[in-house]
Amino acid sequence: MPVDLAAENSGLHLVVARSLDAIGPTVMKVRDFALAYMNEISAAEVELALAEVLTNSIKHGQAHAREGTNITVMAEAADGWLTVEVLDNVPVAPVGMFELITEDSLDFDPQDLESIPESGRGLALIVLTMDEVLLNVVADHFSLRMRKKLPTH
Amino acid sequence: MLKSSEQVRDRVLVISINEPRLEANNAPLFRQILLDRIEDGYQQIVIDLRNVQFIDSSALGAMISAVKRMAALGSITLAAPNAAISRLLELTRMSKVFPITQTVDEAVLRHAG
Repeated sequence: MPVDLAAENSGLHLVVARSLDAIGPTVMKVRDFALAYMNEISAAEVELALAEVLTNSIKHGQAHAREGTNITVMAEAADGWLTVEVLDNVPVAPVGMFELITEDSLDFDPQDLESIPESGRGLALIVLTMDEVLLNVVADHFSLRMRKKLPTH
Repeated sequence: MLKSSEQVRDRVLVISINEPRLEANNAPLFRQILLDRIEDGYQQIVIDLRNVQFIDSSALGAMISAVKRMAALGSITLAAPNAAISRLLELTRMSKVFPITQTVDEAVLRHAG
């Protein structure tokens, strides 16, 4: 289970073990937090985007032999935005890849089954479900900040 | 172990997924179940998603792997996805690959008819 270090109601600060089994409990916690501010479909999009980020992080961490390290996930709602930030010491995504993603990135030729990729949709789903995605890299520290606009009342 | 149950109705295999989440940690098992049933010779398959609340791109990959294996032999229908899963299927253009129905009965009828 992810450990929540944040004070109650001020947002979430989760320390997540580098294990695929940790993804579900973590993203459900963030989805439940988001549900206080947005509808179910929007909260489910946040859940999906975070699941894709964590899957990338954990798989890259395994590839970089960082199994023993943790990932930090923070979430807050302020100034009209829900912000989810993922901090890791391995690349959560290749630098420059998010900027290349467009609405057409998930297109394929349905007549040519063999050409349909079985993987590689994660980054596109992150970009297409969130309103803003920003990857920051400083030395060995990677920070992925995703934001979704909160509904106006 | 992935919780699922299977039933043959009018020569259509209905695989009901009894897990709330299909994601990276269980997608390989999901994929294996689908490929095994295709290897067993089932050509009309319905994946019953009634009890599934969440699917990620890993689970989508498992379904794509299955539909590619099935190819011209038969078809695979996704039945009863919830609103969030329907949104994911729409975003990823999966409706161009899989027939999608609102209920399992509708999916079985579609195959059997």
